[in-house]
Order: sequence, then structure tokens, then C-alpha cells
Amino acid sequence: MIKFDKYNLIINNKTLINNLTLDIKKNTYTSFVIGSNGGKTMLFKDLFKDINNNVNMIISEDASNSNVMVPTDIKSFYNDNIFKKINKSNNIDNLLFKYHLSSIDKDLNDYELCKLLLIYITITKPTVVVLDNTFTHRNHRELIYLLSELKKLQKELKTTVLYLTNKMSVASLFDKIGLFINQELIFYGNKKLVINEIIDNNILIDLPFYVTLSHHLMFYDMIDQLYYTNKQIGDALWK
Amino acid sequence: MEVIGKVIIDLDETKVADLDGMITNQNIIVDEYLKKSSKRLAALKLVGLTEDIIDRNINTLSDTEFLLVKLINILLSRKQEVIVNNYLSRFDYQHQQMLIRLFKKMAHSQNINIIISDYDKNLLFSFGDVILYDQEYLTKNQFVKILNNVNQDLWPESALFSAYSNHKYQTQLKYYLDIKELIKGIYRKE
Repeated sequence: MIKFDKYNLIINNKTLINNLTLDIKKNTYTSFVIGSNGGKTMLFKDLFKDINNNVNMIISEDASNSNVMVPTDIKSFYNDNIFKKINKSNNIDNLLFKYHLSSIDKDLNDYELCKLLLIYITITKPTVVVLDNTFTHRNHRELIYLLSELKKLQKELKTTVLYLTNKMSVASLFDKIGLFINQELIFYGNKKLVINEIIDNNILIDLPFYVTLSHHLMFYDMIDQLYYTNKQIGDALWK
Repeated sequence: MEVIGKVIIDLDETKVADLDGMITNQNIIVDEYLKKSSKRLAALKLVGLTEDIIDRNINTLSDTEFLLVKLINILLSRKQEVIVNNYLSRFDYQHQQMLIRLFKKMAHSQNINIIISDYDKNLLFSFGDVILYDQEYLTKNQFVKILNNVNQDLWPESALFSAYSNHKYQTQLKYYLDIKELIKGIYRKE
């Protein structure tokens, strides 16, 4: 679906991504963690431009007409065509009701624009959705809500979702994680596998709250393994 | 409470930010943006940037570089109070730790108040000294006592975990603002 073959990202003579070979499968919900100043936004822009011109990175042709690529600043994603498309949908009233929105316009706040994006994805049924940290700068409750709704849409529409972020705690809300350190993709796989690798290799990164909590409780011999939700930790401690 | 030289967690978020996480395109050389201040090179080093950045146009900087240059501009302006809004959460873990050390040093060594708000409440409560809530300065202990009256969007996850456990498992965990304190609390069964 999205294939990198010995892909390099070099900006101002500085290698930001080195020799990346990776095949992201269809219908997956994946996040890439790339540190600040690690070329995340440039990678996003590379994905955004005409992919067919870039032999080292290919988004399969059947997907090329219906991709949704959203930058960090959600406001800059919207234009009159997008608002028109949303407005034209037969189901728009139900969708606005579902996401507690009362209008479709540029004056919505950033959180409302994020929810409107979910409506846009529902309507356009894209094959690939790429987001550049678009939901990251929301409060915890809003972030959890937006990503759980995105996950539901991904399953329902059989879309491939790729989320670029500099936060491991956000990436951990995805099924698969790729972690870049020093220009290289060092871990790629399902969430639990990558988190375990990070802990085993003592990598300093912002782990999600429940992982930090369960990891420390293991030191106190209060639980015997890592858990991935507050409920699992609570059950292990008190059930 | 007299508040001087503190990192203040601003939960009211009513102040106009000196420093925020917004990225704006500006057609100007970094050196001019920093008004060619004599201390600019030392300030660049302080935030981990190299000297060669001063000849670049702001438009060519990465988001991270731009946000750090914005910080240098504030450092050079020698304000006695700096209002920082949704800035820290724009960075990865390593940069965040560097910036937290810098903010603490500015507050504690130079008696500057750093008034900081952010989407990431876990981060704020992990290093802030004092809390500004409902126009009052509170210590962390004072804030914990009124936590039940505070919108849960403003709670760190450690306090949310106590609330969840008390509700679901009938535990009687206290509310903690920091994960390390929560872990000790669970161990001591408090």
C-alpha cells in the first residue's frame, strides 16, 4: 500500500531519514514516532507531493485519487471545495449531530475542525489517510475521543491510516508503531512489541501513562507484567 | 501568596502568551529576527542550536528550529515574567526535558516567573512549582484538596487513575498530581 524502498530524506545537506525500506500494509492503523527536528513534516510533505514521481516511495495507484493528507495546522487543510463536499453529503445532518457540530465553516475552533475532518473522511471514504500530528495538540480527553473515532472509521471503511508524531504516548494509541531514532527506523511492529523493546533497551522517550505506571509497579513487585490500559492495571492490583 | 521566581502552572489560561507553539511564515533572516543582539550566539547554544542558523531565513527553518528561535527572542528580551502557552507539548521528550531545565533555571536563578499552560497536564504537573487556578495562586497540596471541584480536563492522569480506581474498585487512593507520588501512594495503600 505505502512502500518505501531505500528512501532517504535529506534537507540542507543533513540526512533526516536514512535508507528506509518498509512496506505498510492495507487497512492498518499505524503511527510513526519521529523526534523534533527529525524530518517528520518533510516526510509528510514528501508523502503529500506527487508520489508517482518519487520512485523510492510509492502509494499504490488505486489509492492515489482518494488520499486524505492533513497537516499539523488543521485550519490550513480546509478550503471551499472541501466545505462544498461536506455540505453536499446526503447524510450530513446525522453526521453533524453525531459529532455535536452545529455548522460547517472556517470559524469552527480547532477541536471542531478535527471532528469535521472525521465527517470528511466518512463522506469521502479515502484509501489512505495521513495525518501530521494533527490531533496531538488537544487535551487528553479530546485526543482519546478523536483517535478512537478515527480507529472506528479506519475499521469500518477499511482505510489505511498513517499518523506522524513526535510523541510515543500518542503513537501508543495506534495498533502499529514505527520508531525512528538517529535517522533510522529502529523498531516497527505491533504496539506491545515496540513498547517492550523501548523498555528493554532503556530508550528515553515519553511512554504512555499506563505503561510508566505498570513498569514502576513491577519494580515494587505489585504487578508482574506491563499492562496497556488503566483497567488492566486496576484489575491486576485490586481484583 | 507572594510568587516570585516560580514556574507557575496556569490553568486559567486567560493571559496573552509571549511564547506559543504557533508556526508562522516570516520572510526575515534569523539574525535580524533576533535584532543582532550581542548575546544571541550564547542563547543559541543554550537551546542546542548551532551558529550557522543565524544566516538562514526564518522560512527555511524546521518547526522545531523556529520554535527554539522564538524562545531565544524571549530570552534576549529579558522579561521579568514570561507567559508560555501550548509551547512545550510541540516538542519531543528530549527537547522537553531540556526546555524544562531551562525554564526552571530562569525561574529559580533569575527570579523570573514562568507562567505556563499546556494541553499536556501530566507534563505541567511534573515540574511546576505553583498553580494558578480561578485567579488564585495555590500550592500543589492546596490544589489537590479542591480537585473534586475542578473540571477533569485539567487533571493529570495520575489523579484520574485514583478517581477511576476509587470508583471501580472502591479503593481509597488519594489524588496525586505526579505519577511518582501515585506509585508511592499505591504501594503504601493511601
